[in-house]
Amino acid sequence: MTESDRAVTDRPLLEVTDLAVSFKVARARGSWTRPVVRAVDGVSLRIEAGETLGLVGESGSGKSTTGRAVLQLVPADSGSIYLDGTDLASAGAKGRDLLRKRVQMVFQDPFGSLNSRMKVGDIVREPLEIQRIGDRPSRRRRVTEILDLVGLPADAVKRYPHEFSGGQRQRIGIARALAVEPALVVCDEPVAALDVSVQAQILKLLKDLQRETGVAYLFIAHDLNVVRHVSRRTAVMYLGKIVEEGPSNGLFASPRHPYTQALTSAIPIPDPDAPRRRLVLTGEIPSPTNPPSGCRFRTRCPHAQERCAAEEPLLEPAGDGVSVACHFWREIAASKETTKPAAS
Amino acid sequence: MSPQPGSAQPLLEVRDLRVSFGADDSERVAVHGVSLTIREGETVALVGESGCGKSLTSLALLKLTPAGSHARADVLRLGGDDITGLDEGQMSNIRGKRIAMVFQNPMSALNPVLTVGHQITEVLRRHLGLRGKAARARAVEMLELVEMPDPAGRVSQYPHQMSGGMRQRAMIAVALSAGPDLLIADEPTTALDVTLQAQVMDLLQRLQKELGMAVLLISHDLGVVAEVADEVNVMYAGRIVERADARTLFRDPAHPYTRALLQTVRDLESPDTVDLAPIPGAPPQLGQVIPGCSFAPRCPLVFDRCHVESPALRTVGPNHEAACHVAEEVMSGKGSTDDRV
Repeated sequence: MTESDRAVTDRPLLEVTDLAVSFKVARARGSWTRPVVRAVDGVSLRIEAGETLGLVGESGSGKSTTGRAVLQLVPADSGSIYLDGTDLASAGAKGRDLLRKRVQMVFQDPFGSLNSRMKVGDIVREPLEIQRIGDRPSRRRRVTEILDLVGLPADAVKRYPHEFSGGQRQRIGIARALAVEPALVVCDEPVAALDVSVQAQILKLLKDLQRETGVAYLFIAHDLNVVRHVSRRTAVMYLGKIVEEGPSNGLFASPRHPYTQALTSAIPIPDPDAPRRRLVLTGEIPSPTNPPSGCRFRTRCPHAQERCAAEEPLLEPAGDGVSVACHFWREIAASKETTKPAAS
Repeated sequence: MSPQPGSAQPLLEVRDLRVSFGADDSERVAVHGVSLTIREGETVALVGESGCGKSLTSLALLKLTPAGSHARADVLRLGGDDITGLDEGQMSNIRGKRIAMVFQNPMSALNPVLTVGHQITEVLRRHLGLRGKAARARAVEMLELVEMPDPAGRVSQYPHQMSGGMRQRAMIAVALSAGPDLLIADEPTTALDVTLQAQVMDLLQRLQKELGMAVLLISHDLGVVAEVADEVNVMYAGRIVERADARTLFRDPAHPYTRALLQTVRDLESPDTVDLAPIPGAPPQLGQVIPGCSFAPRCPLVFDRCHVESPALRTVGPNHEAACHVAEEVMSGKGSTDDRV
């Protein structure tokens, strides 16, 4: 059965369709039922081999949960995940083996994600042992090779994580992820904990590694500049849904969804003379236990109308390869044309 | 530092602040002779990466440096009064009243077992002598001032009952309730999402104007600094390496570190086809002694003299100081991205 799926040739490396993930949270006082948080609610993604898809959103948008669900670190309620044309859900244990070999993860916290009692060499070698890749000498060679590739000194093998700085530890995490030569690495906020100058080093490393090994990234971050810089395509998430998706350059230069517009206008510009046309959103992201009806962004949207409460907008093509989930994106774009400084 | 003609009198003045850890023989210096002047109503930024000593500098102004550290300054004056020799009791009359502070993480700055109203009235009672209903009413006013939704209801809530943005507002309300002359904001928006960050920065700027406070902004984010600061001080390895008004600093950086940082941030803003040219290496660690200029090991313009002689902060233009032997070359664009290796 997996063979027949594999025969379909135009399948991308990763294809996620209608993914939904929910969690039960602690019940409120005086209530019998535990409320359900729909953290991810009908997300579809495609990643081609060797490409980077950026996933941006604020805390609580469901971007990390999406990444974890792809790796099956959290169970999905519904939706399908195809990796190399294989449906992971129906492939069972075999699918899990394929997943672990083909998809790896780099975490945000370079301190918490490395076992402090293991030497760096052992940390990087462990995935090779679990996957039974190679014999002892070839694994040792691979560890040396990969540490060199990520720019760590050869003597790192015998040292412990605490002897390294935050940036160097993130390199160890990247080395561990790349050791098994995965086709896709899910990077969950890989540079959020790092200083600007170190951030740039790690981003450059990730891009260089992609060029050399052809690895694809699902790059999850809240920092729009970082995402724009590393990703050819970007998906913007809000309350468990993708609200806009498309090529990064076009998406950031002329955002169509009002949420993307607010996000991009809120990025501080490192130039005191830059014109400020900030679209400040009121309020905060609503609780995902009780999301607004219709369009989830409507409670903070400056353009919201009655239809937005009644009817949920679906992602639709909006030109230049961009898809947007807004009833009024055409009107908003048109009004922006006529009144140039569209900030309130 | 060149005195500005016709400028307001300094609200806060620090000369040669040093903060170190450990005893004499194993002393590790974290802040090496930092001098700062903040005038009334002005926003001064202290920018730098983690471990550069920017937070420690701000804590030293309040004499709140951690146990085991030694802080001393040649001059520490607040509104013309020498506060160098004040003891704990006298300092506690200044903290919250004349200099207040907001932090990065409101969850650790607010007391989790006291209501937000209680934490505001505590300040009002201590510094303004307000009690009972008057204090309560003032607390609600403070929450209104920081645009807290439903201030009359929120005043009796605990921090855990609020969202991240509301907690940040509550912390600002507590800090401002005694009407300080100077607000030290230590990474006030770092933990927030961009849309919230914009809300909080707008709020801080509005309050500063309305209340006429000076703000010392501690931040690593050059974007945020560019939006609000009048004067910018760049710190590296415990020293101020460049100081200028915001426009000059962002337009004509005179220190290779400032320029490289700005370049990195601007490269990041550009599409994925632009190659990043990150600053190589990492900042020195606390206590690591580097002979000469502490940026020399990472500097693209390094030459013999840099390894021997630590450059002092010197005037390189109107309202502009830098600690680099070749600041003039940096300003003229020598050693820029194109000839970096």
